[in-house]
Parts: sequence; structure tokens; C-alpha cells
Amino acid sequence: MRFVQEFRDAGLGRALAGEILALVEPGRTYKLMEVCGGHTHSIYRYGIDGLLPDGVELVHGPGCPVCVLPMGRVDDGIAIAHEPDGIFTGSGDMLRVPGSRGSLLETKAQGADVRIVYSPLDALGIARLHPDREVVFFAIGFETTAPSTALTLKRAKAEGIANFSCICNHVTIVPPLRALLESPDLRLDGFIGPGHVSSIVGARPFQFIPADYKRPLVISGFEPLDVLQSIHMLLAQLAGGRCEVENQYRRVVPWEGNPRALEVMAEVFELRPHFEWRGLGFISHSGLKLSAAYAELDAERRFAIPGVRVADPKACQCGEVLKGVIKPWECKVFGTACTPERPIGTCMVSPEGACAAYYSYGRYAQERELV
Amino acid sequence: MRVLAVDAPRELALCVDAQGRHHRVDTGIAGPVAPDDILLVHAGAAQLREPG
Repeated sequence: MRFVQEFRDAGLGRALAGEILALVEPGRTYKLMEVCGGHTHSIYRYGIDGLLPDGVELVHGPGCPVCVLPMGRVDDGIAIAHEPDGIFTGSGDMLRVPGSRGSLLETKAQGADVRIVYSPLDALGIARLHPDREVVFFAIGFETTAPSTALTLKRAKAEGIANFSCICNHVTIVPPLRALLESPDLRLDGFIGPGHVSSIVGARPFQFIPADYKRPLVISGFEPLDVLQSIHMLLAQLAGGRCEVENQYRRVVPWEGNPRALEVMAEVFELRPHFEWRGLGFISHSGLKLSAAYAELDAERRFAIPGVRVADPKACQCGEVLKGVIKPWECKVFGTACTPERPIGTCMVSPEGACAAYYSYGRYAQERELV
Repeated sequence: MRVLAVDAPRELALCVDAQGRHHRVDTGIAGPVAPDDILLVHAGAAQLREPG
């Protein structure tokens, strides 16, 4: 397949691994955070961590949208799903996330009409088919998926589809990165930047990282050679005393982002004053809500929701995993009480979650032996 | 995803993914598309177009 196979060449991967080794200063350790859950998945799927020198450690960041959703927001969705004659829709991953009293899929098992959809556009299609029923879409994701929700809401408004609404949980990537950089318990040497988010926002929003925090960031693609090359570029910056934003994923990411997507998002959304992130707490201006022009399509205004903050289960250490403070296998319930089939924490729910990646690609046994 | 058919006035395309599944895709961001174009799609919205 074009744009895929050429970035999975094993020989080139080994050559890049050799060049990475040559850049590492003996005795020095390097902590590089991959911001995006898609990168975490690629790293463990392709065994990229096994190609790196001992001194290079990859730390998993907060860039999995399902993983950072707090339990209280799931409870809000469940409350709406119980509305009589309603149809509640969302992505398959999202519907499996546990709230304080079960997940949306369990709500479906109790009789609520909860449906998995591929996209907000498909949820809107359901609303067209059932004009006598309220159809709600549970929107999550970073700037990668927010344009899709925005386009669908524009379409719903233009067509006058009054029985469609959206509970908006979209978040933005820059505020949590700043929060992580301000965190006293985390020392990072550089960032593998989020490729998909950057295809929308461009590279410019990340320039505060080298400017204010003196850390390099390389926007990266998701194939194994992309990730290896990005690590090489980061280490080359560190070896050369440079500190800047670079774009490895130029085949997809324009430096200025996608103006049309940004324009649609600016029309449909506005920033919330605060939004809660699992593991990171409340972060200012990090969440999106529907703008005043789209208020009639806002499910949070249309339905009564609890809006209550819910503490994570005590056994779950997703927060520390999301901040890169501990590895998934260091969590007390990893692989025992918490598995992909019966997840306790969000990091085990989504395939992009760090815990699910470790579990799925066998890092459970390997890392346990190291303990 | 590869474009199979286009509904230009509504900015929609019928696409097929690598696993052979068909999806309805919003092309409002990517701009005009044509059959056989390859699209980068997130959550049902095309963000980038590579001519077929």
C-alpha cells in the first residue's frame, strides 16, 4: 500500500537504529515523550523500543483522547442515554469506558438505545432516519477529530435537523503539554510531536516548547521508520545543542496546519474556561464547547446532566501512566484486575492507550521479568 | 481510503478502506475529490487528498 510499505523497510530501520546509537552520548540518559497514543501503539507493535540504545527511554504522553476522559463525563453521557425515546451514539472505544456506575455499553445492555457509529456524520444519518427521536452524539478527541464534529454540526444546522445534538468532549493538545512541562516530577529531554493533531493545527502552536522550556519537538508520522527518524532528529538536536520544532511528517503536516479545518472549528467551537483531564486534573482553556451560534445543538443545554466530578478508582493508576511517571506494568492492577476485556482504567480501554499497547504486544511478561 | 463515488453538491464521498469496508466521508475540508483519489480520513472527515 502506498505511503505505508515504504515506511516499514526493516533494512532502513536497522540502519537508522545504528545512526541513533552513534548519536547517544555514553553514560547519558534521554527521556523522550511520545505525545500521541498512535505513536505508543506503533512503538510496541513494531518493537521500536527494542531497537533503541539503553540510555534512550520512551515516555508515554496524554495524547489518547479516550484515556484522558474523566469518569464524570462518562456519567453525563449515561444520564443522557437513559432519556426515554433517545438514541445515544459514540465510537466503540468510547462506549467501553467505565463511568462510576458502569459504561455506556452496559447502559445499552440495560435497555437504553446506545449505538456504535463510525463518525458524527453517521450519527446525523440516524437522526434523519428517526425524526421523532432525539439522537445524541458523544464527541471526543483532539484537534484531529474535532473538525469532523464541526462539519457535522454545520450540516445539521444547515439542514434544520432539530432532533440531533452533541455532547462535546473535544480537547486541545497544547494546554496539557504545558501542564506536563510545569510538572515537577517529570524530567523530559524532548517530544515526539503528534502527527495527526499537527495536520490540523500545524507546527507553530508547539514553538512555545523550545522557546519557553528549552526542549526540542519533532512532529512525527506513525510508521516505524517515521518514529525512528523522529527519534534520530531529536537526538541530533540534543547532540548539536539545538532546540527547535522540526517536522518529520511533512508528507501530511503543513507548517501552517489546515486553514479550512481551523476555520470550521473556530465557527462551531469555543474554549471552555476549564476542563477536567484524567490524571492531570483541571486545565484552563483545554476543552471545547459549542459556540453560541450552535447552542441549540448542545446536548448539555438540551438535557439535564449530573456534571459531577468523580474520583478514579483507588487501584487505578492511569493518571500516573498518562503523565509518564510510571510504566503501565508498574500499575498495581495491570494485567490482573485490569485487562482489555475488563478494563478498570481508560488506558486499557482504547487500543491507543499505553496499557492496552503493553498488554497487546506482550510487554506484560517481558517487563515483569525486569522487575 | 480510496474514493469510489462522489456527491459533489453535498460534499460527500463514498470511500473504501484498506480492509474493504465502505464509509461515507465528509469532504468539506479536503475540497473537491474524484474517484480513485486517496484520502486521509479522521472520524469520517477527509483532511488530505492525494490524486488517484
